[in-house]
Amino acid sequence: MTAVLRQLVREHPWLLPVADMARLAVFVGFVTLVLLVGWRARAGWSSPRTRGAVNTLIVYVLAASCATGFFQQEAWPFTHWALVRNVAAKRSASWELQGLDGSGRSWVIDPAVLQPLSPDELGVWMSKSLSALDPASRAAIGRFVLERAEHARQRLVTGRRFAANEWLLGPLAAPYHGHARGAWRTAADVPPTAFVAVRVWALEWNVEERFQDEQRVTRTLRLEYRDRDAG
Amino acid sequence: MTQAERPGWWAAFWFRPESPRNLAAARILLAATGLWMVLSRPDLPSVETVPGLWASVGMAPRLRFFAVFGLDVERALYAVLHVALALALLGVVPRLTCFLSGLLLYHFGPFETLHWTTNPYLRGFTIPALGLLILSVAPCGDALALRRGSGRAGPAPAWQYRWPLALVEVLFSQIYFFAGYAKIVANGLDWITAANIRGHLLVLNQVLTASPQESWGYVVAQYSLLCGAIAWAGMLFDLGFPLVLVSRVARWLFLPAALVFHVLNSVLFRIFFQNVGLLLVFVDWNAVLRSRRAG
Repeated sequence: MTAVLRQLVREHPWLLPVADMARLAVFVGFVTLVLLVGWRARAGWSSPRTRGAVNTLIVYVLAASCATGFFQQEAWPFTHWALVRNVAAKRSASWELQGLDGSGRSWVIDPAVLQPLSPDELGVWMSKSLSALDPASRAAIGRFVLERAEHARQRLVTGRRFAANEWLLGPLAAPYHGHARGAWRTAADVPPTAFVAVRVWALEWNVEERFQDEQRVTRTLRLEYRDRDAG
Repeated sequence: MTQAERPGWWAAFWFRPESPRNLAAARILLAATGLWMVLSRPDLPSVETVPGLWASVGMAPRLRFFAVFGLDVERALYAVLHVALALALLGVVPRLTCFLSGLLLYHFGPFETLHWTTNPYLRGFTIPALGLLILSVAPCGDALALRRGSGRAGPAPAWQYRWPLALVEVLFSQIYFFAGYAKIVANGLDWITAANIRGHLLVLNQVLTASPQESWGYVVAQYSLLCGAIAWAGMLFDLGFPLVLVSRVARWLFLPAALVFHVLNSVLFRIFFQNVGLLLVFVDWNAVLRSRRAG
């Protein structure tokens, strides 16, 4: 079913926005039935018309949630819940941010500097979009990462929280679904002077080979941005 | 009661008398989960400012989630969401605040992911959005609400307190059931193997930890029997979870098991489930509060 629909969308790209509007219609239908129950309940819960509206809402929610689940299609907030659905891949990929200080020394940048975006979400977009962007757009992204990294570095060296998601709740903030352990914990994890450049690396590896040897990772430079003002 | 008078299974499941406290507890849990999520993403609207990211989102997904406003308006709406969730939690104007919370959770839920998917189902907003909208037309403020005084039982049990709670419970149970179903549909029995679990343990720890060789996932991955047991136990747990909807015994088995399941998922696979607190909607809070008062 899913494969057939994917093929259909590939052949007819105009179906994508149509599908989005159909999914919106599913949500609008849900809200409409919710409001209908609210309207009917004004006459009292004992009214048969109220009970009828409740039955209609229940059937609709069951139909929408079961259709998305059994056909493995999304109409979020009705969804397929396909968590870790696929068989584990033999090869995997990720990405890493690196900052350079004025002396040219490189430091790993904690991806939490980019919150509220999670590393996963941004990684998907970068791997899909980065190479297709023009130089000005790539520079804009590089500048953005450098500014975020430097701002976070300054917060960390002065003893403040640098991850945006922890501004209010600190360590009690909800982690992302795939929760990574942060690379920055203390001021010793960052340079005492400003970052002057950032690099984005694409990482790729064979899962079993990396299990045997942690160093067996292929690194490809995807973006380098240097702050001209820093010289 | 004669056979003719006995309610059918549909009415017995959806419309049996329920305590207003249990529905109110669901309101509190849904609002608290939603509030926890938005307080944990205090700068969510700022994703609009990432160069190129928001521009890559098509018009149809934006229209679908009404993500068409500028940053200032989004920040104002996000502030309204915080207030609405807090009031819903406290039971202040509960129907209006639940409705507003549900709509705004629908609006903001996809902000983290909209640049690559319109299905943000693992970001903690899904069940609170649906649940609060359902509760918005139910008498969810008849107990455990600020204006009525905390701890009061409220009116007598009635069917109007049952169907919204049951609907939230069904939606929550589907998380596990369809997670299991999706694996079987996509891969058949190939998913339920030691090799597959080992692969996931390795990949997830390689991607998500700075030193995977020091992770518990790597330790477990070395024991094939343990990996096989995790595969089968996980699948049986997923597919069996909906039994909690109809069996009290199943609740005693599956709810503690769910807690263990999520702790192990977090430690071994680095997968965190933000809606874990919603497992508490299956607890009979009326009985708990009554026994505490009696004790």
